[in-house]
Amino acid sequence: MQVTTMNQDDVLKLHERLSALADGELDGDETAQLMAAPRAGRDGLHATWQTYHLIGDVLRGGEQTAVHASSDFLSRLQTRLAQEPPLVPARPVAMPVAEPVAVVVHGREPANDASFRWKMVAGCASFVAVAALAWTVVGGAGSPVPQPQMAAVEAPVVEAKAAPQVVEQEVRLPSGEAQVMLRDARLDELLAAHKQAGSSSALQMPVPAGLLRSATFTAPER
Amino acid sequence: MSGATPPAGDSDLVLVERAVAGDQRAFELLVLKYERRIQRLIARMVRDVDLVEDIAQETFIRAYRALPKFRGDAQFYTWLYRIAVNTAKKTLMDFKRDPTVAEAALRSGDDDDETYRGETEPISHETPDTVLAAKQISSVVNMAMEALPEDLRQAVTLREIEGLSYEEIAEAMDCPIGTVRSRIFRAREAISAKVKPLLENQSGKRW
Amino acid sequence: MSMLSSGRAAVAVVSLGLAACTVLAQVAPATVDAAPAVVEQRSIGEWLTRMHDASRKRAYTGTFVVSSEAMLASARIWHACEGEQQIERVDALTGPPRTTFRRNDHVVTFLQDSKVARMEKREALGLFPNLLQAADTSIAEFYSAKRLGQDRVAGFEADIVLLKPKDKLRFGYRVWSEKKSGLVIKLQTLDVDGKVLEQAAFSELQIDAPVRLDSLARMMNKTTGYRTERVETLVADPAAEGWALSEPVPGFRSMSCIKRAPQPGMPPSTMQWVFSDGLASVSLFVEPYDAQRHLKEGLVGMGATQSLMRRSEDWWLTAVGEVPVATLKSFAAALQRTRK
Repeated sequence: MQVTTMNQDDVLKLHERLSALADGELDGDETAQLMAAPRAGRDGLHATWQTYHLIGDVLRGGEQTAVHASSDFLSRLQTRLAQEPPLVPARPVAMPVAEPVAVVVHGREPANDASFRWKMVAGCASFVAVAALAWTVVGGAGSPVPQPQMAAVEAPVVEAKAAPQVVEQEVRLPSGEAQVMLRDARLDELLAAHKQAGSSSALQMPVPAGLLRSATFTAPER
Repeated sequence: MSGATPPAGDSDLVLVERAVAGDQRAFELLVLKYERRIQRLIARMVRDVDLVEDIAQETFIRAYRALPKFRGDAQFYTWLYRIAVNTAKKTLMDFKRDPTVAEAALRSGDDDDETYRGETEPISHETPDTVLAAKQISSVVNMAMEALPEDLRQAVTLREIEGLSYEEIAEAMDCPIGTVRSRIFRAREAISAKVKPLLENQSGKRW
Repeated sequence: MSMLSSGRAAVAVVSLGLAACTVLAQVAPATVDAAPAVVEQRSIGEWLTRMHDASRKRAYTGTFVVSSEAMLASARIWHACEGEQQIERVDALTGPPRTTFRRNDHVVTFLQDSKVARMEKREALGLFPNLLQAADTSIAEFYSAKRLGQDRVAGFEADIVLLKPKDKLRFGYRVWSEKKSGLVIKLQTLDVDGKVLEQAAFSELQIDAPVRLDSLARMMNKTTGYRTERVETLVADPAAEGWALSEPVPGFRSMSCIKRAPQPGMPPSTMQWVFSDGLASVSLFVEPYDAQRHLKEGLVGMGATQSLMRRSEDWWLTAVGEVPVATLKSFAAALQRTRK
């Protein structure tokens, strides 16, 4: 006999799990069980999930977040998703092309664009805590640039005097031209210190230190 | 900060990992979670209402394909946000429309400002109906909050607004974590009960 | 969204410290904007005071996005205040996960990947109100304010105010100031041609959110699981350090000077001399020249923030500010060593 409906208790139990999942507080087993819930009632679960998030958005962001979803957005998406090939999980990480670097990368692959490679400034031996690059080149014509998100790379501190402060990276812009960006960890720190001191301005927008992670090298000053 | 992130923290990563491992249901939950926000974002950039939804669809398809490359070092929504912005810009350029993101129209007409470039009109998809609908929903949520018993309201406030983890809320409210989870769930159920009827009435309407 | 669309409209500009006022007739079409006349006629000082006060006296929480042509960054922010105490928490949503707490002049940054909690004491620089009271008020001399219209941002109605520089040494701003509180909810920095260099805006916002100072403070102190590092700073006197400006850069006043450690655990050897014209600030970082670290002179621009790096004999200058490069060059040219 096929069970086509769940009773009210079962439904509430699933809702309770959805609530915990929404907060990232559902453990692995319960998550697996939730995902394995029968097809029947899936719509109801979806509606509940959406409503829970709507509540959170409205509490945090007010009225203007209360625009609700299109009723068939997901079903239309599912039709298209059905035509997609299955996902291939990430391959192990390729090491940057550089001098010895004790790299710990979180098992995910870096930007796989062939034109993106690390170049070390001559004479530098290793990294000291190089922060992940998180920037988007959104300007310019053409297709969107692949998002070069590198995992946070940490290396043991070698010696302060050998610490390279400047790393050159070559990036391909949508127009095809290469642009060299200078990533200077030291400059980042000074920028952060400058931003913190910026409370001397009347325009108190909170521009947090460390938000400014990308730099465009404009011109050598001579 | 152990778990001290606002909503949309670890739960996204769990869903992403499951989705990459082949669990399409997990991806669907991500879609449902961010559909409204992404549509709102795109609607600020694109005039054509139908195009907004098309671009939103395209955004999630691209996100799905790129999911294996998503690293946990940035928030999933930020990653998704970028995909949405890029998709919108590309689509607009494909249609040979003005790709600039809409800003407020600031043609002041003052001579002194002639050197300042004018910018395009802001895009609003709001109609009196949709504004009213949004007001109603928001008002029902707030009233439902007010009507909650104090412990339920406090629990959901600490979670949703202050972004505390269950552990932190348990500490703040001096109760077991299980109780926190239950209170937040009951608060959400109580509010949902009042909000859901409004949403069902408007199914089909987008904004 | 109602906008000022056509017609000439001007704001009465009241220049602080001057007896005479210049009032220009308001000839806006009646239909467009229903703002009361008094809003149109706020002086630049009044606009800025409202904005500044709102940021200090209101609790709020939201998501914040900074974008420019080549960069996008966002963060989640909570702000609470109680009397004179300000506390703020910022979770970066882009880049490596980090959470920064600021309570008055104490800053703690939790770096999630390396599990380091970096502590610093930044000088409390609540100097803006003083600028308005000083005899030679610079702000009105160097900027004018004009209300352009109104707009809705993150669900709030806001007045749009154009802060226009009167010379080419500074940038202009379009400020969206929330109507009731004055809180700045969107800010565009404009270069000398009026082009948007950078935009910072709330994409989600709740003003007067029930954010409690004590709960943020509790989170700020919770360093378990993190290795703490301290960046030492000292108040410094530029003259005592041996530095001076041969001539001032118009509009910019010396605000503060500290010495910072280049890295946690090292002695403070980098001088940071901060100037401001009331809206924009410039930091001059001066440290002993080190051939290994100081590799490239030049200019770097990120959104509105410009940096200039230059060596001068035994010293290395990094000038940073939300100002045109020409202004940084003026500072660099004027900076002088007053002793060996």
